[in-house]
Amino acid sequence: MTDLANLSSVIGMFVGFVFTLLIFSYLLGDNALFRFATHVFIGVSAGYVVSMAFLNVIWPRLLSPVLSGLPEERLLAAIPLLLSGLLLAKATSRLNKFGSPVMAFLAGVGAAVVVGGAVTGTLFPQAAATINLFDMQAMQTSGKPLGAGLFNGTIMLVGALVSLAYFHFHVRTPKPLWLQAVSWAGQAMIAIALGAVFAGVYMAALAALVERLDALVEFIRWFINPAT
Amino acid sequence: MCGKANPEELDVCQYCQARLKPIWESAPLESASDNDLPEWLRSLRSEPEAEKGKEEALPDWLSGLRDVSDVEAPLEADQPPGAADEFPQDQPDVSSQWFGSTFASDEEPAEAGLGGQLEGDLSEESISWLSRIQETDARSGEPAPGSDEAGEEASQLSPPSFEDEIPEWLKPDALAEQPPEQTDSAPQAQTPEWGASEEQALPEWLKDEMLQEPAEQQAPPSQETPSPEWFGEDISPAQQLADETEAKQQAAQRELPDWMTDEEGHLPEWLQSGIFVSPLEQPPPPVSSSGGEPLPTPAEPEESELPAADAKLPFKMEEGEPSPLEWLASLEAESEGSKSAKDLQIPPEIPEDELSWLSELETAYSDLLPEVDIASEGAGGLSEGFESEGLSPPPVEGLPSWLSETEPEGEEAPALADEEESLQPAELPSWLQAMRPLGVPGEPSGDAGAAETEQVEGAGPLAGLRGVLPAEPDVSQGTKPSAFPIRLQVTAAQEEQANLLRRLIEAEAQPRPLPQAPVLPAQFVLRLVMAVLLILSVLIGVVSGLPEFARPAPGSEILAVRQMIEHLAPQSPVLFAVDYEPSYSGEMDAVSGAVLGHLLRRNVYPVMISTVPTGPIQAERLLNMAGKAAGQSLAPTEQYANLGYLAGGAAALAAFAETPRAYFALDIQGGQLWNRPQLQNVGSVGEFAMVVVAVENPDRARFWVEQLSPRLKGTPLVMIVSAQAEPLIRPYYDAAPAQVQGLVSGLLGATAYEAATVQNGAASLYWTPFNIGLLVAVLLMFLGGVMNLIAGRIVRQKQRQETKSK
Repeated sequence: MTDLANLSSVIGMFVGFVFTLLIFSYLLGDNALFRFATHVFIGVSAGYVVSMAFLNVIWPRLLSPVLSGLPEERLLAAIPLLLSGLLLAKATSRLNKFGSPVMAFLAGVGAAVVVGGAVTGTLFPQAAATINLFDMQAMQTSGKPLGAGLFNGTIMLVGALVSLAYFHFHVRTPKPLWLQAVSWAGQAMIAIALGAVFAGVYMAALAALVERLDALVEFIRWFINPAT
Repeated sequence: MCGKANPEELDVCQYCQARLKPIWESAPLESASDNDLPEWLRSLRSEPEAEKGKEEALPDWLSGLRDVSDVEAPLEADQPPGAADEFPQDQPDVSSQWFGSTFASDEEPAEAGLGGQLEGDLSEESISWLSRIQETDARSGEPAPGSDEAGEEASQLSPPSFEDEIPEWLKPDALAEQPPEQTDSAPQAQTPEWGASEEQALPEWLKDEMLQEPAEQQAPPSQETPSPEWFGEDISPAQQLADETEAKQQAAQRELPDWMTDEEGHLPEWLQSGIFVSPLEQPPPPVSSSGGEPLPTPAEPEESELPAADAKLPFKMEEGEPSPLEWLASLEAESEGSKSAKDLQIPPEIPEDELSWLSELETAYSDLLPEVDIASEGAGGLSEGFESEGLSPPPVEGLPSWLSETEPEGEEAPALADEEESLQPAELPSWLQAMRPLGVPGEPSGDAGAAETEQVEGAGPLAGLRGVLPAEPDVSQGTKPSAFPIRLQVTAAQEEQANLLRRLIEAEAQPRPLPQAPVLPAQFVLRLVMAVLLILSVLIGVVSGLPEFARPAPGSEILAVRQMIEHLAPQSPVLFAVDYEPSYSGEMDAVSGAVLGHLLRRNVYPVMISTVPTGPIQAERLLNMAGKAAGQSLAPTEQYANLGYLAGGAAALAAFAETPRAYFALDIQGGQLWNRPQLQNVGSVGEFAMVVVAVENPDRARFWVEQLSPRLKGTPLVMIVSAQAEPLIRPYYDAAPAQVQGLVSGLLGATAYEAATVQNGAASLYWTPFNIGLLVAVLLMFLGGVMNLIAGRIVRQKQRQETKSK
C-alpha cells in the first residue's frame, strides 16, 4: 500500500512536473505543448465533473430512489425524473418548448434565492455596518480607539458615497461642478479598490507560481535523491 | 392555316377546318362573275334564271318584254341571217359591243352560224345571262323568224302591259322595233294606252323630264294626237310647255342623287342628253331581229333602279365630246330613215376613255377571275369557231370588253394605267364602292395604303386577297435606335472627385507588401525577460530559502479564527467547504492547509463539502496534505466526512443550510453520515460547531455568506479566501455586527495564521520565494513605469522637434 501510494505519488509528481513545463512553454508563445496540456486539463476536468455529477447527484438522488427506494421515495423521485426528462427536451429544437417550464422553474427559484440572499445577507447588513461605523458605544465596547474608529468610519462612509455618486448618470446638461468632484472622488475610490483586487490577483498568481516552482524543485530533488 | 395540301374541291381544310376559299369567292362562278358585274349587268344575267324557275316573280316589265318579243318574233323573219355582219367587228375594245352581239344574236337566231356558235360557247362557259338573252330572243324568234304572221299578230295585239314599267327612254326603242308598216297604224291605238300607264309608273322627275322635252321632240302620252310624240317632232304639242317643264326639270335635278349631279348640282350633259332626252330624241334602242323586242340594254332596269342603272355609267362627258349614246340617236335616225330594223347600224362605240371605270374594275378583279376565265374561254371558243369557218373571229362578241379582256394585253396596260391616273377617285360613285366585295380595299389613300393594297396574301384562308392587314404590325419591325451620348455631363469638381475616388479604389486594389514581422518582437522579449526574472527570483527563494523574510503578524481576523478554533471541542463537527477551483489550489491549499491543520490538531471532526464539482477531490487532497502536516493519517469515516458535491449553487446552499440531512444521506465513500457520533446532533448548518469556507471566487464567497449567515444561529463563519477575493469579503468581516467572524486571506494570511498557531506549513515555506516574487514584481513595475516615462518623454521631444522643424 505504501509502495503503491509512493508510486502514485511519484507518478503524480512526474505528471505534474511535465505538465507544469508544458504550461510554462507558453512563455515562448502559443505552441502545441501548451495546447496539449490545456486540452488534457479540460478533458480530465470534464470527465471528472461528469463522473462526480453522476456519482453525487444522478445516482444517489435520482436513480437510486427510483430503482431501490421506498414507494414514497420513488414518488418523490418521479418529480425530478420528469423534470429532468423535460429538461433534456431543450436539446432539440422541435421539443424545445417542453423544457422551457423546467428552465423557468430553475431560473425563477435561482433568482429568488440570489436576490433574497443579496438583500438580507449583503445590502441591509452592509448598510447597517456603514451606519454603525459611527456607533460610539460599539467602538468603546470593541476597545478600538475612538478617533481611529471615527476616521476609519468617515473614510468608509465617504468612500461609499462617492463611489455611489460616480454611477450617477447625468444626461441632459453637463454635470454640476460639485457632482463632477464627487464623481471624481468616487472614481478614485473605485480605482483603489480595483488596484487592491489586482494586487490580490497578483499575489494569488504569485503564490501559485511559487507552489509550482516548489513542486518542480521538490520533484527534481526527489529525482536526484529520492531519499530526500 | 396549317399549310397542308387539300383537294381543290374542298372549301374547308380537312386538317384544321379552316376555310380554304374566301367566302365571297366560294360562290359559284356565275355568282362570282355576277358580283364582279355592275348591278345592271347582274340584273340582266339573273333574268333568264328567273324565267326558268319562277316567271311569276319577274317584274312585269320583263314579262311584258318577253311577251313583246314573242309577239314581235315574226317580225324578225324579214331580217336576213347575216345581219350580224352589219355590226362593226373591227373595234374590239368598245364596251358596248355586247349590244352589238346581242343584236347579232337576236337578229341571227340559232340557225345563224356566228350566232349559234356564240350561243353554244357562251352557254358552255356559264355565261348564261348572255345566252339566255339569246335564248329569250331565240324563243321569241324561233317560231317564225321573219314571218309575217308575227307581224300581223303584233299589229293586232294591244300595247304590252310591261310598258307600264319601261323607262321612258326605252319607249322609242319599242317604237323603233316596230316594223315600218306597223308604225303607221299601231301608234294611234297603242301609244296612248301604254304610254299613259308608263307615265304612271315613272317617277315624278322622269315625268317632269318628259314634260320638259321640247315640243317638237316630246309627245305627251296622254295627248290624243294621231301619232305619239315619239313618232314625229311635228306632232308634239309639248313645245308649248317648254318653260314649264324646264322649271320642273330643275326641281327634278334637286331630287336626284348627288352622284348624278355635278358640282353645281346640274345633271351631267350626257345624262341630260341620254336619260332626259325625249322619246323622240332618244336614239332607238337596238331592236331585235325577231320583232323589235327591246333589247335588255344596260339602261333597262326598273324605274326604281334607274338611278343605279345610270350610275353604272359614271363617266363624265366633256363638252364638245360626242355623247356615248349618240349611237342610239344614230340608230333612231336610221330607224326613222329606213323604218326597218334590218337597216340598223351599230352605233359608234363608246370611247374607251369614258369606260375606264370598267377597266379599273377589270384590273381590280383580274387576279380573281383567272379561274373563271369566262371571257377568255368564251372568246377562245368563239375564235375557234370563227377559225373553223375561216372567218376572223370578232374580238369580243356579245361580251363587254372588260369581260373579254380579263387578261389585259401588254400594250393596253400602260394606257389603262394612264387612264386610271387620269381618273379622280372621288368621282367613283358610292354605289360602285358598295359593290366592291369585302376584302378588297378601296382606293388607296396614300403610300402606306398603296403598299398594303399591293400586298397579296399568299397563304391561309385569306390567300389571294390583297390589302389584307399584315399579321406582323409595322410597330414590330425593328428600327435602329437613336444614339444617345453616353458621356456624362459633369462639372470639373465632380470630375475631380470622381478621379479621386478612382485613385483611392485603384490604390486599394494594388497589393502592398506586408510589414515584415521581427523575429523577436519587443513585447515578446520584454515578456520573456520579466518571466525569467520572476521565475529565477522565485526559484532562488524556493531553492535556497534565502533571504528569510519574517512572517507577518496576524491580524484581528486571523486571531479571531485561531481563537474560535481553539475553543472548539474535540470531535465537534466543523463544516469545511472546499469551494475553489484546482487552478487556485497552489494558493488555496496553502491557506486552507494552515487552518485545516489547526483544526486537525484540535481533533475536530471535519465534514468536507463543496459546491464545485472538483471540490470533493480537492478536499481529499487537502486532508492528506493537512494530515501530513499535522502528523496524522486521517481515516475517512472516523476522522472526517466528505459529503461530496453540492449541486445547485445558491439555492442548494440555502436548502443545505436548512436541512443538511435531507440533502446528503451518504458521504463520498458511500458511508452513512448522520448516524455517526459526531453528526448525530446536526440537523442544520447552525448546529455545526464552526463553518469554514475556503473559496477563491468573491461571488461564491458572497453566496456562502448571504445564504448561511441568517441560518447559522451563532455558529462562527470563517472565510478562507484567496488574496484576490479579500477586498470583497473583508467588509463582511469589518461590518458591525460582523457577518464573517474570521478571515484568512491569501498566502499572507496563511503565513500569519501559521505564525499565530506556531506551525510551519506550506505557507511558511512559500513565504520567502513569495516575498522575492513580490519584490521582483514591484521592481519590474517600477522599472516599467520609469521606462515608460522615459520613452514617453523621448517621443514627445521628437514630436516637438518635428513640429519645430516644420
